[in-house]
Amino acid sequence: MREEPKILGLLCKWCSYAGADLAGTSRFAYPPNVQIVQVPCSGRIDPVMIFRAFTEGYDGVLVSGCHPGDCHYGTGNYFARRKLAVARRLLETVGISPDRMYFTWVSAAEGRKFSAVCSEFTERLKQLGGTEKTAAREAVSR
Amino acid sequence: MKELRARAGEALANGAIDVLLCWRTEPETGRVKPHVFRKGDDLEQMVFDDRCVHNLVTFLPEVAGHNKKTGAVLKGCDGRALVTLLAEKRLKRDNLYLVTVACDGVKVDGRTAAKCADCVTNVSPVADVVIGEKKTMKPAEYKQLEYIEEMKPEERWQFFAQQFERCARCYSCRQVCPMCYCETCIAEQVGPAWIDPSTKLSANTMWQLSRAYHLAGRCADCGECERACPERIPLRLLNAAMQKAVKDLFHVVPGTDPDVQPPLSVLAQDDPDSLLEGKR
Amino acid sequence: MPWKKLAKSDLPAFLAELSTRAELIVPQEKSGKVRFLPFDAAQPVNFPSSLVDVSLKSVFFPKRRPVATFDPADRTKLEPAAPETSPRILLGAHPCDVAAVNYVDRVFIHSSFKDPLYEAERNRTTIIGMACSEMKPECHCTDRDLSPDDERGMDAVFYETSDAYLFRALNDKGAAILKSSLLKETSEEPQKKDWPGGKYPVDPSSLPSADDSLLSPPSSLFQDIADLCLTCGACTFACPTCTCFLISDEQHEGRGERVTAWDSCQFSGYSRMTGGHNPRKTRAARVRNRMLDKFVYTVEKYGATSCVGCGRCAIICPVGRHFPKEIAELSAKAKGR
Repeated sequence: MREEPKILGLLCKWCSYAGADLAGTSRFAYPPNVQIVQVPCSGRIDPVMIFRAFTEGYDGVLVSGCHPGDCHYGTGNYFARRKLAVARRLLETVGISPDRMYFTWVSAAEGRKFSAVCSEFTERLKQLGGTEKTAAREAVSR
Repeated sequence: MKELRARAGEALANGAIDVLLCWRTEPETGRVKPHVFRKGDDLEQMVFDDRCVHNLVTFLPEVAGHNKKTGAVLKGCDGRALVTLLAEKRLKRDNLYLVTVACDGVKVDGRTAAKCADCVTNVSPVADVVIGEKKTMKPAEYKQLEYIEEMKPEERWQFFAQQFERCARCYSCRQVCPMCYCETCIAEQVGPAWIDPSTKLSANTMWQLSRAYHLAGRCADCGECERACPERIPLRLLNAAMQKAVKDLFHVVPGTDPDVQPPLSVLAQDDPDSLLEGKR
Repeated sequence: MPWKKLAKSDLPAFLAELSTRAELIVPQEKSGKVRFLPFDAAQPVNFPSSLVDVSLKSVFFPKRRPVATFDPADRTKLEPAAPETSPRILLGAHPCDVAAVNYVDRVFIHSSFKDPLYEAERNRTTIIGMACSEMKPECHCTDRDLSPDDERGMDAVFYETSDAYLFRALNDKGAAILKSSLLKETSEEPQKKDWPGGKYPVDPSSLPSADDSLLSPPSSLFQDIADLCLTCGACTFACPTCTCFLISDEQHEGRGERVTAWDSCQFSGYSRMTGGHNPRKTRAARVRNRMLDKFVYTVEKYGATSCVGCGRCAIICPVGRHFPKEIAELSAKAKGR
């Protein structure tokens, strides 16, 4: 059984990814469990990607975009906000705890927030335990 | 029936429509199946009863695509699908002549279809002609989800894993669905292959979740996916989970109001941030 | 070879005995359909008088079949999957399904590429077929040069009577399996019946080859059918001789597998190529392909028609298309020209 939670982080290029960069350059410490994938906008995220993360054995998915009103493309994050809310419900229906999804807004200036989010989410998933008993790990092992 | 055949005959004869999609009783076998009626066809074979389970709206874009004016006979659930297709601009209202007949329910395997217990509209919300009486139906309650909601998370997964394991990836559910019309389905994309094409459980889970998610705010609950599935996977459960979420979060029941856009295609600046937690 | 009788009351003991000798595959009901599954003494065996709901295609050609493994870090090395060799007994396959397997052998064994995994499955399996005692409404094997008590392709066969099963070995492989104290030699023989034909006759030689202008798209003949077909592919999955497949490389956590997975010519992306060109983009083109494949194209490629008259396509179609009837009508039309 794996001790450390494996987290997929989907970060929008313009705000959240920059915020993560800032966390790095500012030397804020945070756990290394989040594997970051950059997307051009949180609105590009098709929840199919989130489903894929879980069926590939990830214990949690973090999604972060620009704050509403600040989207680099204007309106992408408004769509993301709706899509992610609905996707969360579907995963809950098939037995994946909504606590395994962390959706938030991190701006390019919020390096501290980004590291806090990663620490909090990693700790939460450690408490929840691995996904061995639920969809992710079992699905993949068959 | 008389009124339906009379209206249909008249519209075909005077050229108001080139073709009419309805159901026909096959003379040799007595089977009821979808049919494209043309001018001069024997309309005594036209039928509308509880054997008319198919959703004719699935055929409509293809048939309307090569006829100038297409007629179609619709049940209530079929009409809900049509409303969403019109909102998504998949069909043009001007090319269509729509006749809706008040529906009392249809039968599958000799019993009333499960979906009919959850009917929210017995006539199509959009029609040129309404035959029969529009009834006030009870609102959408998604009662079939109670069974799942009572389960603990591990139990829910065990239940769905057993269902998903049987999926043969035949995509009958996708093809019978009027809302599935992507030229290249996400399941057939390679580079990257979001959804592996084989039937291992993780890939089947991907397909089932993706299909249900892409129907959020669009599914008319016509039940055809579940009926077409050769493995009898309870697909309506997943669809219901999505539509219940959409109803809770956006107060929309897909296809019931022609003036309402599907909620996931809508720009809403004033949504609350509590949506990030899945609540309104 | 002589007939042997098994009292119906001895069936559980016979099945238990067979399952000690080899992996035993029998028809059982699961999720509302009778299908061929590994024998489980806790589940009742179901020997239908005619068609088994789900064909035995997946017994020899599974829906998902690993053909090789690889290390994702080094994709230049493929480790081929080892063919299975342990013995297997398939009990209760009806003549149409056995004929289908014999046709599929042409594709996977007797053509330009011999599939070692498929061949191994065939070699390790002894087929004890079951003769039908009736024809179901959609059965039309008699129109396809077969009959409900056809014994070709079987290693042994059995017939059901009111109180017993009558077995007969058809070759040495079958004889070896039928060595059991529970099977008693008998002079009783099953009654052979006269089976009706002419439900959905097709004359393949009348069907023009693909060049014929009658059938070139956009022929209204196929457009009319395509208008009411969803090209869902359910018929191809139900059909015992449809074997189209795709190959997919799948990897997870450092392990890679190359697998074959069932595909269908009815899927819109089936013939889509790099660059986006798709010779069968329209439904009419795909409908035409399926109809002609069974009676014209497989003759050109493998020397035999591939429809066995089981009727599963008609049973499973969610929108009421009747493939056997349509092809019979097409054949009649083509003949009349």
